[in-house]
Amino acid sequence: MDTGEQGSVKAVVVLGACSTIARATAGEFARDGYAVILGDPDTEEMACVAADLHTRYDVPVHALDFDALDFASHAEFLEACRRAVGGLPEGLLVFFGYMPEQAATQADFALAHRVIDLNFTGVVSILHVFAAAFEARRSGFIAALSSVAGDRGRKTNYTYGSAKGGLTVFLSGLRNRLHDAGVQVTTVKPGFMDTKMTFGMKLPAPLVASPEQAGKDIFAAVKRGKDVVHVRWFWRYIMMIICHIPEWQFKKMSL
Amino acid sequence: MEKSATLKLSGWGRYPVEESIVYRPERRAAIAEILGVGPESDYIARGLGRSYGDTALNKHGGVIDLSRLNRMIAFDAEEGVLECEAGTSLAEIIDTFLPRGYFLPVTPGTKFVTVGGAIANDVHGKNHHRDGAFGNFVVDFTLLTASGEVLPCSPTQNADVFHATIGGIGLTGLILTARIRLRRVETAYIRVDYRRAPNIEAALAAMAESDAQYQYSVAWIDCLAKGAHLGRSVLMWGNHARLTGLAGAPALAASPLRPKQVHPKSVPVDFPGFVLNPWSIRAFNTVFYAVHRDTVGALVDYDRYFYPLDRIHHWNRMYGRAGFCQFQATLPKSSVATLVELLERLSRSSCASFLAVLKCFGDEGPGYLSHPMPGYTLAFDIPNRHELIGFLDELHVLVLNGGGRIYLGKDAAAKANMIPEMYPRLDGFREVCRRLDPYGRLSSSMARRLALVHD
Repeated sequence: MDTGEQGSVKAVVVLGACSTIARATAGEFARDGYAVILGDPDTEEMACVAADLHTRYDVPVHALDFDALDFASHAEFLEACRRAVGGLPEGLLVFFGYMPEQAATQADFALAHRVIDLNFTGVVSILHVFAAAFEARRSGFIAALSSVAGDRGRKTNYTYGSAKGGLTVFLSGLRNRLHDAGVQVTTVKPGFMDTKMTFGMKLPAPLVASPEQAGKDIFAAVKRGKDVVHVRWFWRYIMMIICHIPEWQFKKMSL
Repeated sequence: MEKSATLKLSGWGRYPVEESIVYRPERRAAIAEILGVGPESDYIARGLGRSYGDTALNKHGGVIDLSRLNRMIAFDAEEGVLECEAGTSLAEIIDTFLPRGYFLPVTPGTKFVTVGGAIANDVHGKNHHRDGAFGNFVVDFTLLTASGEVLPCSPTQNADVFHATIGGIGLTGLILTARIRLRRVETAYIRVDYRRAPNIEAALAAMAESDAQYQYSVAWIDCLAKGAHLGRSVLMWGNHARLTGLAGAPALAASPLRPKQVHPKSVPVDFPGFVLNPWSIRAFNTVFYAVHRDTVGALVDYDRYFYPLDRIHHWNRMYGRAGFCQFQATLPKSSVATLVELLERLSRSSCASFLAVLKCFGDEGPGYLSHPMPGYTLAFDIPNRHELIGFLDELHVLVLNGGGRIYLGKDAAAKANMIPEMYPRLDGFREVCRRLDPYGRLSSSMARRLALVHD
């Protein structure tokens, strides 16, 4: 096995592996010679993604059953990753998330709870395990998918947005903590993506990124050691404007 | 249940434009779910939308876009056999396997088509005279039928379903995965000979004489030339360049399977209708003929040779908002007179076409509705003006009387009563469709227009 730094294997763990953005990003790492460990609860679909990455890029690909909500299993998941590639993987990419209709989360607290757990608590739980291991090794990278929806609460998706906002803050703190250990943390903030989440919505086409484009942007950001990356880059400026609208005005708006 | 969207869709010709309920599943299991319990009365599969007419349209019905189900499953390097999902594009296959020394066994004039679409239209390429159509290289596939069953199909297993599906434009079911046999190549280059022919007789004679020496053969025809110049052409023959053949070109020989990539350009907006007029098209055709001097052994990379139009994304916008029709028909060799008549009508009409291509086809394939048959095939674009449909009607009658057939993958205007004569194996096709899908869960705008399954 290709061993770079001490105890580090040139491998990347990709959670929420069945999403199109995860698949595209995993492809970029595989193209760069990384072994890939996929984690997702949908093992049948994950097998297709694993076969695809292996066939296209000719790298070792492992598919491990992963349940973001089964917090107690997360320490064991890390051990399973070690066993799969014979050491601690170099990095971790977190893509799982969940965005039902806002109205549904308002009507049903159980659903709101699930949104918070899948977008926030579950990520915190798995990062808890991997961050400690990377910190002890004093190297590695972590990238997690947050959202521009977490930058400001809007009536159309603030349940999801608040969970992502919490995640953005968590990642910022984690980055601060791990900086001294040489572990890099990248917050990914996608704007509109052409995925099943947005399929059929009337969105302005130039603002919508394909999963392939997102994968390239995320890979490049991790390689360059960026702290926060907007996918596509112009979302940084769109959000700058949105975040500077005074609250007394913002509360009257429909965005 | 998968989310759907109501979208206006068209084929590559952008005529007709129809509203459908579109699904774009990202999990394989979702396809069966939609086909099984989806609320629309019927469905048709769609890939990258490169068929020209209404094969992948279903007016007010369901369309299942399979472009996200594009996973490659396995590759057998020994046999050169790739197993992949139906939404995998030919471009992805080239990107993945050309650097390893494999190329597509058959390719149409664009690489932005899916494997499912290539099978459903039984697409052909410049090597048909030698290798036949895409279906000849399909080892087997799995087909999700209307009843929800997943049928393994090959020339020996469920052979009638296999033959009905190849060229069957999606009406037998949805192809989930397929295994296709790739071709081994030593380089990414084609060694091309260009020769000009002053008229149609000379072009046909040159093809008859020289096609056998080449894997690839096609002629571009100046469809505005008249009289003694009728059918004047540039013949383009090619063979895959061997590694030894790159000896004189050290820059290419250094990385023989990875030619320099050129960034594609894009047509950003619809051209206004007046841009393409008989004068601009005549100018283009004249220049094209003039610049292609007879040349022997030019080294051309695969992209420029097979996919010149792929270098201009959205080139269909050149025809303006009204779109265009592509006409392609094949005539038996005994009907040269009809071919000449077609060219005469085209050169006389005001429905001028930019590019017309002519090719000599080889043997007929096993697909019941497969287009190619031995003879000459002629293809050209016609901008959509008010006289278009009438003009196409005239051409279709000529083709029918000449014992020929039109290509379903490009058609948007033929009439139902012509099909049984053009496709004598239609009965076999209908029998399979009606057996697999007694309640008509699969349908398309073309299937209804041409009464392909039900009278």
